[in-house]
Amino acid sequence: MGLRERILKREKRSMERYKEERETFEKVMGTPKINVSVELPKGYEDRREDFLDLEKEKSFLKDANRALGRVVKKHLKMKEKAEKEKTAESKDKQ
Amino acid sequence: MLDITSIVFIGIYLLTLLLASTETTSLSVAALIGAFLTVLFGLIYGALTPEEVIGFIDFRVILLLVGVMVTFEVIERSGLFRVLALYAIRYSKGDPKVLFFSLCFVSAAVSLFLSDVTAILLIAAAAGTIAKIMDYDPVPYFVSAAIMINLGGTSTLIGSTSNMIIGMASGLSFLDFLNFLAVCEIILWILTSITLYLLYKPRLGEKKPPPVYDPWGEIEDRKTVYKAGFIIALFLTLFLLYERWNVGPEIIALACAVIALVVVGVDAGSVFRQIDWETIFFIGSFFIIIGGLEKSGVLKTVSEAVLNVSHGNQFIAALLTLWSSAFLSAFVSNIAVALTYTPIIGMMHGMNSNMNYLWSALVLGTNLGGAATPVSGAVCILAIGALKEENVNLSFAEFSKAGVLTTIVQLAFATIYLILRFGM
Repeated sequence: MGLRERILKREKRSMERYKEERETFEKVMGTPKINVSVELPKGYEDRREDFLDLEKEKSFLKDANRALGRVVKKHLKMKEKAEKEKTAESKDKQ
Repeated sequence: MLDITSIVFIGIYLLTLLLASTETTSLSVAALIGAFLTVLFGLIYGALTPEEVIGFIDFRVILLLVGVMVTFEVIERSGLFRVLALYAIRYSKGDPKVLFFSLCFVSAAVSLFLSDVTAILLIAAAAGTIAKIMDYDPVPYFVSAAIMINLGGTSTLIGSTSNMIIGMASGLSFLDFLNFLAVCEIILWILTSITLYLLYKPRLGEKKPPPVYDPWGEIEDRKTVYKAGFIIALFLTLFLLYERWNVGPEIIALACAVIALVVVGVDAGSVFRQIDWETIFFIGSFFIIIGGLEKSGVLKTVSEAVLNVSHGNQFIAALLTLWSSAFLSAFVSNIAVALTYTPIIGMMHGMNSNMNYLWSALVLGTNLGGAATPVSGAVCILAIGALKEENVNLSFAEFSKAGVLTTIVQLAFATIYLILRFGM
């Protein structure tokens, strides 16, 4: 292991702090994000290691982001619709 | 001719520097090994006594360091510096030139108070976020932030750990530091940021519509930020006045730490866990190694050699101190350099009543040499590490290009400044 790698490895803890700071700035300036945790589906208990590796696989993350994007849109639309209905109801009552 | 004790203590000193600079072990462990060997050899061969070993450690430096660390850990948690960075970015209005200069100055300003490590993690995170949003090359912003953070605080007693060591050894107060070096630091901020701008101009990107945001967006409790602002104001006021009350800066730092903990009301346990114990153990242990060298007469020999080389000429002595301490700080910890040079300069005190030019040269040398190469200081390596998190691999050579260039510009100016300021 070279000097560069050795030093960078030692600074791992600081990099965790960097990521936390980065997330805070991203929340203020960038696109907001939410974290969703996914459990190992039933019947796949013997694929534990493969399941955990998915977290680092770019193709999986891309698919998950796309699929979750659809779910997020669906739920945001549902919320918007519910809010509109609520507003309309309160107007009717008045 | 050196005796066996001196040769062994020199060997231990060099071994410690070798272990620390090659990252074979961490800084603190390298110094602990050196201190252990010094004590073991010194006690077995009767060169040192247990009382002498304890006496080598200047606990005033350690108390000052702890007081400053606690105070600014509390302030950092309030989000005050984050708000400052967000305002600096918003002020640029999407102009990369303005963004570059505002981040440079905020980096230097933030490092007046925060440790270099905390400051680079904060500024790099801000720079990384805006660079991604605006699709800018993050390298100019990260490297410049590291270099400016290293420079920030050169003219204050609490601006860097090496300054605290030099301040306590020389007896220079907070006001003395400002008196001798504030003008120099302000000009260095301007010179360094212009040098970096000229170097990175083609890589800064084009003006784009900036993101719209509220810098206070993530602040849940504005009162805490105001309290943090009050603590900074109080801290600076007390440091400007402490000489009048016949107390040391370490007492003021500890008082501010207590006030900060009480006023801001953060969890003290979690604040204490964030204290940089690595640096504290390093300093404590290195004091013992240097103490061994001092007791054996090695440092006196070096001190006399410096006087012989300079023939008592202030200019040559200051030049030697400035450039040699900067050169050494580029390769080994500038804390170790400060701890080594302070007793040497202290011994020259007896030969010349006014040594302020030498102390100032040492302050400038140890600070300015700290960002020449990636191994010069933690701030440089963390900037490279943060860039890696942004999927950018910055080579040691590429960092050194900016680091060496700015260090030479800074040292050249510092040389002129010392001549003009102290009339050499």
